[in-house]
Amino acid sequence: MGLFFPRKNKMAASEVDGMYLENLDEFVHDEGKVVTYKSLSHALNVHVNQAKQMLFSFVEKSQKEKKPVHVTYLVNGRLKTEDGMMCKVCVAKEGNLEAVKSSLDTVSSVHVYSVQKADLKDSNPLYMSDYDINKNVQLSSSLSGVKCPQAQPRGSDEIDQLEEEKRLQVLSSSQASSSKQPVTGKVQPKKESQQLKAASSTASAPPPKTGKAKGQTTMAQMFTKKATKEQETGETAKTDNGGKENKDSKNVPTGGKAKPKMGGMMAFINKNPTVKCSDSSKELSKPSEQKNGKQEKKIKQEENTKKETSKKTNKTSAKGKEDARKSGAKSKKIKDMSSSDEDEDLAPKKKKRRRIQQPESSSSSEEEMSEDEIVIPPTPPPEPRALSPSPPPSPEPSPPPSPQPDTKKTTKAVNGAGEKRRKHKRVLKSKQFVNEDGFMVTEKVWESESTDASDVEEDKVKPAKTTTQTKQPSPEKKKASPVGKSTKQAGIMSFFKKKAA
Amino acid sequence: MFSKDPNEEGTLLQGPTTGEMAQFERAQCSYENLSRRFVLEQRNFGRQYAHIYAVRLWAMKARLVEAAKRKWGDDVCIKKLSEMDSGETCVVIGTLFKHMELKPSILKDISEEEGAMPQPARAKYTEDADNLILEDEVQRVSLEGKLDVQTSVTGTIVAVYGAEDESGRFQVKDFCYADLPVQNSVQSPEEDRFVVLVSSLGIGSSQDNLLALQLLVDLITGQLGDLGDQKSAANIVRVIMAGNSLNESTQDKDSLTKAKYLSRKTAAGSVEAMKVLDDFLAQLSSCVDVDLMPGDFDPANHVLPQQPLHRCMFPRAMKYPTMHTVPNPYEADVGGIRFLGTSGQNVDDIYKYSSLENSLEILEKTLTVGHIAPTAPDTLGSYPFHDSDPFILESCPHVYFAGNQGKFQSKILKGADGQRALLVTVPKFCQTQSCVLVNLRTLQCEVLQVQAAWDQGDQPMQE
Repeated sequence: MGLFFPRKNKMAASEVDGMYLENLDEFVHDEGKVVTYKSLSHALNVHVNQAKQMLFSFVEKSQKEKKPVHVTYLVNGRLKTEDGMMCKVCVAKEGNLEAVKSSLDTVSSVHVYSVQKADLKDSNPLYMSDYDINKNVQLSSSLSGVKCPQAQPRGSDEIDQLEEEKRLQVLSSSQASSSKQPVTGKVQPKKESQQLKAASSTASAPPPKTGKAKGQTTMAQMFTKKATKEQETGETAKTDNGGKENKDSKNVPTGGKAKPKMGGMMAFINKNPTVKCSDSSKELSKPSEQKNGKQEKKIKQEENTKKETSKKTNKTSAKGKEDARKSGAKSKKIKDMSSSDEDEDLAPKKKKRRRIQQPESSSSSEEEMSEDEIVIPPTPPPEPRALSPSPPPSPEPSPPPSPQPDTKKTTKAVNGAGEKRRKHKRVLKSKQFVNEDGFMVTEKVWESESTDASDVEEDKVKPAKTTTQTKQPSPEKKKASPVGKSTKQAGIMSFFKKKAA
Repeated sequence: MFSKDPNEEGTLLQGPTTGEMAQFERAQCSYENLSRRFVLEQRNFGRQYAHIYAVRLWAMKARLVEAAKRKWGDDVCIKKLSEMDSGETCVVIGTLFKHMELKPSILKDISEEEGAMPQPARAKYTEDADNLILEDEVQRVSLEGKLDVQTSVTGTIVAVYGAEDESGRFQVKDFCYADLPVQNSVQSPEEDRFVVLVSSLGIGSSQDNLLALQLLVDLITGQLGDLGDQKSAANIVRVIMAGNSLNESTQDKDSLTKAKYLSRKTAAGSVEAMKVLDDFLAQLSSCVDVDLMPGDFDPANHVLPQQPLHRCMFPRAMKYPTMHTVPNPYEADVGGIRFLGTSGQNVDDIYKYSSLENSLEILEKTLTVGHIAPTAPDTLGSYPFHDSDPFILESCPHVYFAGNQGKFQSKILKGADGQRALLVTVPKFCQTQSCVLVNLRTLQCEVLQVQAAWDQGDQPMQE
């Protein structure tokens, strides 16, 4: 601000008389500022015309008191030129005032433009003194002589909406074919997710409800993955990222579809497994490497690893948590943002699909939220272990696919930065696997940000193994798992195809 | 405008009055953006330009037939070049092509690269040896005679009346262009309503005088002047910025030739200028409707029609629903008055390729030939349209303007069917500190000039 006047409310008439002259005297003589009518109007929060009058009376007063000030005037008049009448608006110094006036045929108005102590060599200070003030557009317009009722600034919500609409227009125009399928998927997933929620709430007895929910979703996702992957592959050859995302996102929606069929079964089966599923991120990775052999050991190891990780990798885990939370939060936000748009999005691109799908996945907000939180490696695992010691084997198969997608989803929500986070999360998982091997692996993964494809591949391969292993322990699961296998394999194939494409 | 009621005089050269100060409400007018045809739905630059000429001739031929029959009688013989016999007097309708030796040609540049001195930059590319050729759908013929070579430009659709002589040249006895298209009836507002046309703000130059621009903004937004001025300012319903809001110097081409690592951290010159522009636009649009057209130097696509500047460039101004970015050319209906105008590229280009000097004359020429930019796509960059030519005048505007011209000029052009169009060349604000006020009621216009600088060393201050 050019002037640091104490800002006052609308001045009462009595106030006007006394205070402003003192203020002006202070600004002009003590602080040596260029006081324009506009800066005065802003500082005292008075109408611009009133500010002009104040300046005028200040000029008169200072002339009486022999305190010289330099004044610039604004002259508005008309002039006859060869091209016809011309309106002319001039800023003139006091000395020039009469000359400027006489150069005009008719003078329509004159008022004080600014008052300053120093003689201005050029007009630049007049602009600079108002530079900051002019940025306060709202106040300016409220103090000006013309108001424009139709020029109400849009709220941020409205702007977002407009931008979304425009984006949709662009998308719809550019992409017509691929968009429709996701839409249908989208609508269904929400309902399904709700159903799932209900089912989970009813079915789930112990605290791990969230875990169950996860498990259900994860199971559903598994199934959905199978179906979806096939569909996806059929639909479009997508780039790696797009493909991944699509899979993830689609998994959710399709999972919703699949859920109704499998739902009850899944829920029963999953309950136990799901408990661990919460740990799933860690466990998933472990089983793949350790290969089922000793679940108890695994659990112990996991616990140990957790402790270790928590201790040793405090940094990493903390980071991971933070990242996950952040990502979760972001994804939530994004979900909120995009949720309104989902219906509208007819033709989302790959990126958009991510966003849209995420919101959908999020649409089953509670469950997924819990998933996200749980996914965060360190915190969730302890509860599930304590809760469900025996059933570990069965849950493992189901969780592996789900956690990965979840993490991916969450991470993917954030664009460029999201990918990095995504990788980070994977790293955390790998640490859990590798406990025996050592932490080095995790660190390496951490560093490598750009290798999405390889990570993905590994992840997928691992889940497949886990599913095979898990099948044996529980017959029902076998049923479920084979499907899962087929789906997973298909998914991998599709993945490679996508890459190739 | 700004003619004052003397009763209100001097209200501001007195001590502060108490009581609420009046705030005039911004006048409103109906508005319709008619520029849809200038907005590209798809951008496919793979096509050849021949389609434009074909479409143009096809679309305008009917109008020329009509004009020819009116001029030379209903029984006049209108033929194609291929049907014409030598010596037979008839009318031929086709596209003009002006053969110009001096016309810059990339092929010539390359072929003469060895040993040839680079040609000095020219203001005009015309010379006496230029000659006109008329092309219809399948054939072409050299023109001689009444049709003036140097005031004609390539791309114009014309009907020539005459006969082919023995040397194979067509001797033009007379010619005509398409009639001025019909004009919507004027439903001008009953009170004075003004539209401000301003161009070439030239933000971003090294010596720009932003105070002048600030004064203009303050005037329009009702900050400056006394009550009478503000009352007048409230009658401004719209501000149309006809291009070149940024200075040419913001188009820094160095970054194209420099190594990337050298220019990696340097922001384009237009970035800062764009922020300044955004600030001004935010002030303006908080108080009046603003239409921002892109121009030659603005960060928009170069070929006509230039697409609206992206709203992301104006994060502050775009908060206001009164801020609009529009294409160039731009057509709109404001209070029943149809505005059509460009940022001046069409006029500037014709200036280079014809002997016409006066930009108002050139502007009038484009109206009489029924085409906004006849030299596109020959010498003026244009999108390769293939199914329509949006630059053909479909209806006669009431106000037809060209931005970024040297000085303000205006003229009323009257058509045969009672059309009445106001032609305006909008001066460059950065050079003249002037803009144009168009009164929608009377279709008259006047210049508004702000003067923000004073000569140094004026009389000493009086004490």
